[in-house]
Amino acid sequence: MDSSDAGILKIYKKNKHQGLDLLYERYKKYVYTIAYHYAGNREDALDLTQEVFISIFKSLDNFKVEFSLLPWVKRITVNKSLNFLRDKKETLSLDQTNENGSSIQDTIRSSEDTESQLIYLDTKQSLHKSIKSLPPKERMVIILRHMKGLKYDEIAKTMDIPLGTVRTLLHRGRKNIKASMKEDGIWEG
Amino acid sequence: MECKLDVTLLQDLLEGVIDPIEKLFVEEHLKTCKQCRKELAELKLLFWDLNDKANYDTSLPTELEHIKGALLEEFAAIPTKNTTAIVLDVHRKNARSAGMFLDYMPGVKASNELVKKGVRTAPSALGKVSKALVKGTRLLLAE
Ligand SMILES: [Zn+2]
Repeated sequence: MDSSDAGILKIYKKNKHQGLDLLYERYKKYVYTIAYHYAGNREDALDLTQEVFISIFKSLDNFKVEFSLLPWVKRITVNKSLNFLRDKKETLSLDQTNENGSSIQDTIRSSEDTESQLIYLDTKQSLHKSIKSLPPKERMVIILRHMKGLKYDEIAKTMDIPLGTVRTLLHRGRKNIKASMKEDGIWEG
Repeated sequence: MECKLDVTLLQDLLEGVIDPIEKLFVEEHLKTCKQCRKELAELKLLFWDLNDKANYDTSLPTELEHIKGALLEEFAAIPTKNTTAIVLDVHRKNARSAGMFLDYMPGVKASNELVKKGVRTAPSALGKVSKALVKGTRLLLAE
């Protein structure tokens, strides 16, 4: 059991509000970055993040103190992502404006401006685009292996799939990403 | 002549998950196959980019704070005043912020669900507030 996790659970038992606050702060980046790279845009990533934490908060009372939180958080994040369905009809339109008169699109655009200042944008952008276009399971194994640095057996456990499948999905995912980045001319010159 | 080597072996070689005998075989093969040497060189570039943490740098949007606020209120509201005061307070706060907040917060669907579920389990004071919030969001979504 991780000491920080143990501490959080201990605080949670005494003060629910503070415990949940600490848990959220500790794992928000972890959950959001997986969600962001899986969903491919921040709007869906925020939806997903919220779903993940609802699920965590709901079942935290039943969580056994002797286990670590991270594998559990990881598993919920992965499962929620893989089950994530976009229901365009029920989500708000991007053109809709809030009461300040700025549209969601504007909000998104302004927050992404900072990224365009980076010099290695081309590689990063091409990689994002390539990962985004992968089938869901290929996308998830690539994220877990290369972004999060998980070992093959950890990926198998987290996604509840055989080790051989992890390998096959990684092979295919990398092959597709390579073809796509090559097309973007990333490694030329 | 087209090379017949299973190129996934080259990925496994770079990942260090290749069977030792296959490794010897692949290394021998690379000595004589230009095509596979080129493929391996490209794969090295790919792995470099795939494993480069900078490629995954993500800024955390401020909405994450709003989500936290909403979730904490739903799951662990702080009862600091008497019930009536809480209802009025939260109600006033919701009336002020709900429109703006729900307007741009992604996951309105999920939060509605949450609020609805909250109604079932929350103490009566919060239940009333939640119902009011649900009504509020319905109105917002109606257009
Ligand atoms: Zn060859």
